[in-house]
Amino acid sequence: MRSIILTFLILLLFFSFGCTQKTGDSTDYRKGTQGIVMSFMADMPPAKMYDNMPIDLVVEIKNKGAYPQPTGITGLAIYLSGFDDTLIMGMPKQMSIPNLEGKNPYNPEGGYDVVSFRGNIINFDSRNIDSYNANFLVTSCYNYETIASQIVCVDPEPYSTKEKTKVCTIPPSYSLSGGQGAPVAVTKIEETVLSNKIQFKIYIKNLGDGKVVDKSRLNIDCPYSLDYTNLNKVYVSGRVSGYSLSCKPANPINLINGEGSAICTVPKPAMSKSAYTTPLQVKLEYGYSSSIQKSVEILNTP
Amino acid sequence: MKPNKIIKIILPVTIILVLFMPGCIQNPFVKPTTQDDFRTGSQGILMEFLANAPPGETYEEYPFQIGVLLQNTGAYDIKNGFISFTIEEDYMELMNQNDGVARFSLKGKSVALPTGDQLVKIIKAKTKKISEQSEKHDSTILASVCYQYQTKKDITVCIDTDIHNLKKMQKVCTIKDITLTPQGAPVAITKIESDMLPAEDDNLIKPAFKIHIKNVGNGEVIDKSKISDVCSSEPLEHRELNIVDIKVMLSNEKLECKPEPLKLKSNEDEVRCILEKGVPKDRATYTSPLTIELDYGYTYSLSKKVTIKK
Repeated sequence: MRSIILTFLILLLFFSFGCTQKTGDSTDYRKGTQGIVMSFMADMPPAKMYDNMPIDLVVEIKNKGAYPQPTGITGLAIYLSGFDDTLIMGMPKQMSIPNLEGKNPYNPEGGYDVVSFRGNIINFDSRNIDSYNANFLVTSCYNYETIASQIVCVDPEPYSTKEKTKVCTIPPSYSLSGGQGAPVAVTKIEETVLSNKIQFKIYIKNLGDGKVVDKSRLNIDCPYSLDYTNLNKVYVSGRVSGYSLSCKPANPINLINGEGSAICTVPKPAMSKSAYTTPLQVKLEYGYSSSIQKSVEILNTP
Repeated sequence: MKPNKIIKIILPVTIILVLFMPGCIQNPFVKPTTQDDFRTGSQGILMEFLANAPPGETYEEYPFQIGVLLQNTGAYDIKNGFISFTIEEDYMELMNQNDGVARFSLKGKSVALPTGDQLVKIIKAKTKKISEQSEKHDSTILASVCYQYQTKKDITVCIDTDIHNLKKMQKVCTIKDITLTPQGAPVAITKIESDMLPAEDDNLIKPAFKIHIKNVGNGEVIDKSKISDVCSSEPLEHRELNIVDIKVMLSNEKLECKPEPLKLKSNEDEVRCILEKGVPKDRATYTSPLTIELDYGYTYSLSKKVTIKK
């Protein structure tokens, strides 16, 4: 009898885990610091190969960010370099990836695609070569956007000495942690009420593992001609209370060591209005580039 | 123990062993053998006298044998090598005068012949009468080999098209000096220094390599076209010593090397090779195979003392 009870209890304990309520909001897809994520498929290609045979390089591409909504990303291109193309012939150097949608309520995992680069390793005897360490660098270049939303307090008279019941007060800063489903994120917003306008200082940071590229130069310079003139440029815009943000410095904003800021203003509401909360929406537009690398040792067939 | 019980124990153990055994078998792709694996060591031909051929002591007017074992311990096949025997003609003579110089071929180490080929050369000789006043005479027998050999090394080098790091693209490799161990030949490539030089055309860079070469064997480097002269006692001029022909390819492009041929000074020297055609700067940094071939003649001698008694 005792053993039956014990078995029953153990089973109950095991199955009770399945009843735990799932925490976290599955619709919060504007979280995270990733955009387009690439990875080599296992053993495609293997670490060691022989000459005189075809070689397949298969790359999985996932859109782990929240852009674009609802259509697929446009202008995503994958570039292949780093190897001697007289030894590995016929491999395409560039591929365009169409329609890779971002995470959304209907596709919380984001878009997924697989691209295959196929080439042929020449006969090494014809070149008198025993072995060759080929390096494959796959680089992505794409346009991306960050949408950051923050409920802010709009108080036309924050320094007023009149006794008033206010629904909100302006904090020293609004902190936005964990990213907004994109590699470049708004990390902090500071609000200041001036005489005739409200000022928001928006802090921006590259939290991804790639490079921020000027979106206007993406199709021209990425990835082979990136330098200080076309890197770290972000275009900032936004809206609050029906007003478009007017930002300085003029777009694009320059990121220094991956960080930058913009000071944006909107007209101050009439003094008669009391404090209220409203969403501030900041949009960052930029190009982005990241790379993955794999080495393959190719041996002359004995 | 009952037989049934033994079966009950052995059977599961066997099944477990069979299941886990494949994990212990080495994957043949983990360490495949290639010709490059045999390009180790600092010798070409190894030569040694056979035991008692020639004997340490013998008597006057007495026949004896001179035998040598030749082994190609390098990774290059020798065709038309020469072996010569030199004796003191006042005290010894070869039974067959044509045996003084002989040709040989010996295959080097390869996947099919991992130890390299070897051969034994035996010739017959006879001592002559020694002087009336002497009880004994010490005479020296010299065996020499002369052969053409090749040192080959291919190594993956970095072609950095952005030497000043102006482009902010990830690089698959960086330029570095490469130190090498001998390549299964008496002349070795000891170091390769890489450099990317600016070209007259601003859109190009010129890959350049300084290749350090050293005689690491125990013989002498000679002009490869003069090997028969050395082993036939023909006079050899100073300019025919220490000559190494060099061929360097970067992928499928031949590099221009200076000086060519190289004359080793104090058994070592360096050569500078450059790809004059250049590489476009707008190309991403990449790796490419650098293939170096050194062709030369080599000679090595061995002596043994024979005491001729009355």
